[in-house]
Amino acid sequence: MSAALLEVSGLTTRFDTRNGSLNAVEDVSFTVAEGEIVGLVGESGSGKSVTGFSILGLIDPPGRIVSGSVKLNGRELVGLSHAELRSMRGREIAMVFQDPSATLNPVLTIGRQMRLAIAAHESLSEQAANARCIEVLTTVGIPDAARRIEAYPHQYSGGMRQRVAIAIALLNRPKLIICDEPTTALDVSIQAQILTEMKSLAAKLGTAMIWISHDLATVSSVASRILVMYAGRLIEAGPIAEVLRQPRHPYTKGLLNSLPGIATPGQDLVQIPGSMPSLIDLPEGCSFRPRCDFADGECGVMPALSVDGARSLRCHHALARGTAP
Amino acid sequence: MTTSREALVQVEAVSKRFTPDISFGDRLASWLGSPVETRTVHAVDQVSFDIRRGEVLGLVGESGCGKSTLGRVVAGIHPPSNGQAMIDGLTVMGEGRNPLKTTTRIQMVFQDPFASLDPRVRIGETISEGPLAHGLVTKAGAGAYVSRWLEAVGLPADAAERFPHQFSGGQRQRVAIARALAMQPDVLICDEPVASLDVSIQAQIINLFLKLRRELGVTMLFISHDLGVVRHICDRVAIMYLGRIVEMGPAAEIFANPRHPYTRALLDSVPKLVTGSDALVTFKPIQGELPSPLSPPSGCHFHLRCPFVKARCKTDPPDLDGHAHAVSCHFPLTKKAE
Amino acid sequence: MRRESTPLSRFWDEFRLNTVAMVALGVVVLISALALSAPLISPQNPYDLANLVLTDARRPPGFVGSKGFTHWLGTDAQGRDLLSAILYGLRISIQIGLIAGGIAFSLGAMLGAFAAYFGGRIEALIMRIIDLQLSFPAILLALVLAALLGQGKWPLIAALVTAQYAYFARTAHGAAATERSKDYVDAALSTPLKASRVVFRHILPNCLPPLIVVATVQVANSIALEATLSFLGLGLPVTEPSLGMLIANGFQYMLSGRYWISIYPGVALIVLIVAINLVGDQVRDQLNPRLKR
Repeated sequence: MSAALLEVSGLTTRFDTRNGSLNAVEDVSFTVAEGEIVGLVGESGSGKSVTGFSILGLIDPPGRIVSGSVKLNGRELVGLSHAELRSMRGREIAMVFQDPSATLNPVLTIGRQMRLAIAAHESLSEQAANARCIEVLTTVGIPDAARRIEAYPHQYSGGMRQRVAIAIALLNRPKLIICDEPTTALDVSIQAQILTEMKSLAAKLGTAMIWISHDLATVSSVASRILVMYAGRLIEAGPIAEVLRQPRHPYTKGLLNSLPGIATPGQDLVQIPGSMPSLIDLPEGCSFRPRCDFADGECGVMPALSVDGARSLRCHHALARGTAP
Repeated sequence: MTTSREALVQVEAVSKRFTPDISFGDRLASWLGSPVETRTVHAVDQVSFDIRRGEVLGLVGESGCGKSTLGRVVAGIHPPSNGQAMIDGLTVMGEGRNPLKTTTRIQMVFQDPFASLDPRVRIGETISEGPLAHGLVTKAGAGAYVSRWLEAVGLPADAAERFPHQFSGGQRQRVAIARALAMQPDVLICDEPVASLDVSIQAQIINLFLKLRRELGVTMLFISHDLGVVRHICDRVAIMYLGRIVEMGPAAEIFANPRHPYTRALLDSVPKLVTGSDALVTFKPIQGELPSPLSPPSGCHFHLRCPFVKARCKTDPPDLDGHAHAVSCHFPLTKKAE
Repeated sequence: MRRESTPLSRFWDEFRLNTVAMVALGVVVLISALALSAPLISPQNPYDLANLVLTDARRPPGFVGSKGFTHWLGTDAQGRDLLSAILYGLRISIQIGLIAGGIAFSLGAMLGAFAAYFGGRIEALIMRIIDLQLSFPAILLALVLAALLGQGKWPLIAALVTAQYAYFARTAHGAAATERSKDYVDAALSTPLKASRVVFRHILPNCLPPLIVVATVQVANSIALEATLSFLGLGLPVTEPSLGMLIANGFQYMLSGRYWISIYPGVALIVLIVAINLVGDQVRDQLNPRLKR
């Protein structure tokens, strides 16, 4: 593996709510190598999106990063001023959100917004900026970009808007793009188009990506490594095919068993009982304990993240190898 | 498809068009001779199918294909513009200009359990108000009746006293299912009932549907965009594209041997769990996007995106042909090609 | 499952945090309590003509009258004790404001909700009438009606309701049209439930937040409107003066230095209306989803 581009260690992000404070992300550590696509998987409330926002320094009060560090190319990002973060965002790390309409300004044309995004980091002539915009739009698969660039966001379809959002993320050639459920709101046929293009783009431009999603299948088709989160913590990580073939955490295995695509049609799915605990009121010890078949007295203590070669795991009762789902 | 004796639900040439109300100003303008544009959406176009007793029929398609509208027409929420939906030979909707639903034998479960439960009504009342209104239960027996249905969907009896906001998404969906079942329906229309749930909760609700089907023998129209879910719980599948059914047949058959190019493309677009090797996954995405239902293309609706398009497809709309495995295509695929 | 917290208790918890609104609410409650208990606490019954002594008329505040008690706010042209007259006047004003507001609320909410529920021609008809009515100033409409219907409490209330129900109807229509498109209404239709049940049990309760905001503003408005009509002589009879009439009666003495006859009822009216509006502002801020964090 090449040198780490992004190094997150011990990241903890806390939100103070009226009902008490909660750690949306707790003690999360991982690295992303240059050009690598890492999938960050979890259910709602697992802290996967907050992790993405924390890396970008986009946590607003009542939330704050209480400990840990985020290093990009060796430079610490936690504790940077707003101005420093702003100049870093877009140029070094960019983000693509689930809902492209939230990123695009409805009253500016696509071209205007893109030129503003370039102007924020670099002074280019109007023509040069325009040429770059058209080039990037073409790269993400927008036909007839030279003509459509002066259209407004509402004149694009949902899938096209997401492509524009991706194009804006690519504009300043960042080293890392954080994609938060970028295809969840799209139809499968459009999703397939975008997945294909994102993968070839990452390969061509050498851009690293953190692909945040709840959908194991989508992640498995783009990412080379997977991080699984549960109730704010990283519980399992490793090369994707290995983790999916031989999950070692009972939750990862339960998640795979929950997918209808694997079981025989008509048969009951092997379900995980119960639901994710409230982050304000987490059980003592391992957060997954109340839903886990293997839980015993030992699980009353939070297991540490143990590293074993390329894989890491946070569990006292690691499933033996060879228990494929 | 011809109606068979065992068909419980018959949908006959149902169309649903939405025309926005013409404003007074526009009407005045059209009297004065100015052309006024009416933007009619053909959400559902001449759709016919049957659901046999005890069967689960999956209705699959991408957003905007009209599957939800069709579900709501069959459930008696929207009156059809043409055609009719019938249960045991009786129409779901009454007669007249503003027809009302006349049967309680078809009930519906919605996609978003946060929107489909009235936030200001306690769970107990949500479940019992329909049965009380239709005399399925007396006021005195309502409490026990609610408990019985809460238990059937795996919720504690004291849930009746609570408000929807005190429940998680999965639990709310159970409440919504209990509300539909408490009307003792023969048919359940499920509109994306697991789409807004987390994976682990989704599995629980799918298992609940499987259990209800085994124990109560409920007939279902299961609307979903998720092919994995549909394959898991449906006996037969109908694929919709832009308001029309393009292919319909036994689930195993459709997934193994899709005959319509759209079905094939849809199946190829679904990301599959890669556990075998690190080899790159390749999709064969469908080109282009869904055309606007305001002005659907002539002929076969899919011809703009179809890799096998021929001249005839552009003018002549194909019919849904075939008995067990019907397909609406002039040049159906024969076998799964490479 | 989370702990039991009703929407009302959460609302109150948030309301308590705003000191200004809490003081205003205290003022509204205090004035209402005083007005309600007017027959018990006021020194004189100002409506009993036998009680009035004409020689005590137009006396300044602090004057000890012939009946032996002090007129803390002075007396008016008929020799009424002003404090008593204001308390009784507030009672009438609040009563009329609440009754008119309540009727306008119910009528408007129902019209708006049914219009939104049924749609089509019924909706077009109801909403066009309401639009037409909203294009006239409320005061003009109330003036015409008060003149047509004559003097008295009920004609006055009728005039106020006519002038105000349209605001409720329009708000209810907007809110109900939003609720109408939600899945829980479709669920009720697929059961099926009767239209009246869907509207009264499901749609209207969910439209309450914006209607309550309009209601607080409109109760204050109808008190002001009632005072205006009475001031112009189109309200209640002279024998049962409301605040507006007290102000009107004292108006002619303003320039002769007998300011108290007009000023004190005016102050009472302003304090009440401002306090209601301050409470209304806080309610609006809390119920407006767009201002929510």
